[in-house]
Amino acid sequence: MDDPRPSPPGERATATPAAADAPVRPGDELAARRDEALVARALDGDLGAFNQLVEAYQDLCHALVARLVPDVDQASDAVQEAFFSAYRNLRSYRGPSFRGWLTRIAVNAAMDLQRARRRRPVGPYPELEDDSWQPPAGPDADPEAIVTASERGRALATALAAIAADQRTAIVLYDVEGYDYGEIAELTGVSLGTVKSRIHRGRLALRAILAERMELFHH
Amino acid sequence: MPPVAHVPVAAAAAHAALVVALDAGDLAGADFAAAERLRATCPGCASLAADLAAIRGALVALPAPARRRDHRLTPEDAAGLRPAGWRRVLDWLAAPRSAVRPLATGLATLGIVGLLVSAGLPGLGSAGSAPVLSSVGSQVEYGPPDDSSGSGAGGAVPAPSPTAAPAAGEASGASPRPLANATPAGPPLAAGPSAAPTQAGAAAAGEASPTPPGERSSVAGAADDTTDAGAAKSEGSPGPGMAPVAIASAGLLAAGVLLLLARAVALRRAR
Repeated sequence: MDDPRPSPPGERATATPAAADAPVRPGDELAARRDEALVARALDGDLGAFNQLVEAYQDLCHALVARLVPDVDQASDAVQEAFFSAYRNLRSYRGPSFRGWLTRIAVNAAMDLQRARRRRPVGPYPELEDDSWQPPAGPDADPEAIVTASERGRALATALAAIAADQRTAIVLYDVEGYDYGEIAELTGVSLGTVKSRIHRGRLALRAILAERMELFHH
Repeated sequence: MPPVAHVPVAAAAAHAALVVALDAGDLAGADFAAAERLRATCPGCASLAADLAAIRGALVALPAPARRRDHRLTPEDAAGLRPAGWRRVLDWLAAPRSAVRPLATGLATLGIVGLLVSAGLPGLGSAGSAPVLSSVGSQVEYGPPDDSSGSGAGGAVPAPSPTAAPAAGEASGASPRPLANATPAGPPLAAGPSAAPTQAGAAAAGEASPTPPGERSSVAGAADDTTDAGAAKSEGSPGPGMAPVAIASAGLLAAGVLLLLARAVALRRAR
C-alpha cells in the first residue's frame, strides 16, 4: 500500500491540514463566519442556532470520539455530553474557531470516558461483532477489495481498541484526524515530547498486535 | 509482500525506536542517517518500516462508525442546561463581552478619586481647601516681604502680620497649606509665645500688629489656639460634610475591586 502521507524529516509536524500556519481556505473562513453568527444568536437564547451548530459538527465529533472510545454507545454518550457541555459553557467561548473549541470539548469528553472505562471496562467496538457492518466503499470497488478493506478496518479497529488509551488518542488525533504534534499536546494537556513518544509507542504496539495479519495491510 | 518478522537482536528495541521515529519523520542528522542505514541493511528493520507505513496508511482510511443518534438539543435539554443561581452570576462575570470589567474599573476609579477629594489632596479641587489655597496663594504672591525679624529660617516667626505668616512659611520652605492646617495643640504653637499663629487666628484675636516675643499672655495664646482650632477645622481638614463622600468612595472602590476579583475567579473557573 502506498504511503498516503509522505513525510520528509522535520516537515511532518507542520504539514497536516489542521496545522496552525496552514492557509485558511475560503470554505473554512465562511464556516467560521457562519459559526460566529450562530454562536452570537445562541448566546441570545436561540436554541435553533445552537442546533444548527450541532448539525454542522455532530458527524465530525462522532467520528472523532468513536475512534477514541471503543464502544459506540459510550461514544454517542460522550458526543452528547460534549454538546451539552458546549451549550452550558457557550459564554466562555472566545474564538477564534468554534470547531477547534468544540473538538477540544469532544476530546476531553472522550478522555474522561476512557478514564472512567479504565475503572469499569467494557467490550471493545461491539459494532465490529456485527457482521452487517461494512466500511464505506466506492461504487466500482471489486468484491475482493471490499472484503479486504472490511477485514483490514476490523483488524485495525480491534488493535486500536487494545492499545493504551493515551496512545490511541495520540494516534487517532495525529494519523486519522490530521492534527500536528503541537495541537495534540494542547488538546491533551501533555508535552510535545510525550505526544511523540505516545505515537511512536502506539504504532509499535499496533504493529505488534497486527503482526500476524499484516498481509491485509500489504494487499 | 509477505510479512517478515522483526528478528530480535540485542539492539532490537533501539533499532525499533529509530525506525519508528524515522517513519514518523522525527529524525534528523546523525540519527536520521543511522536509521536509514538500519533500514537498508537490517531485514527486520526494513520489514518494520514497511509495516509501520502500511498501518499508517490504513489508519488514514479507517472508516468511522456511523452515527446512530441525533445530538440536537431539545428545549427540555436546554432548559436543564441553562445555568441558574450562582452559576448564572459566574457566567455573567466570565463572559468575554460582558460589561463587568469596564464597570469594575469605573467604580474603582470613582472610588479612588472620591477618596482623594475627600482627603483634600492639593490640586483636586476640594470644597474645603479651595478658598484657603486661593487666599493664601494670593498673599504669597502679592504680599510684601516685610518680615523685619528675618527669623523665617527657623520657622518660628514672632507675631506675624496677616502677610507675615505666609511669607515666613515660604521662606522656610513650607507650603502655605500645612500652616493653614496647623494643629493648634501642635509643638510650634505650644512651644511658647514665639510660635506663629495663623492668619485667621491672628485676625480673630484682633491683632493688627506684631506682638513682641514674651508679651503674649497665656490667655491670649489660649484664645488664639481655640480660634485656630476652629479655623483649621472649617478650612482645611475633611469636615463632617466630607465623611459621607469618603465612605461612599471607599464603598465604590471596594465594589470595583471585588468585581474585578470575582471576574478573575470566574474566568479561572471557566478555564
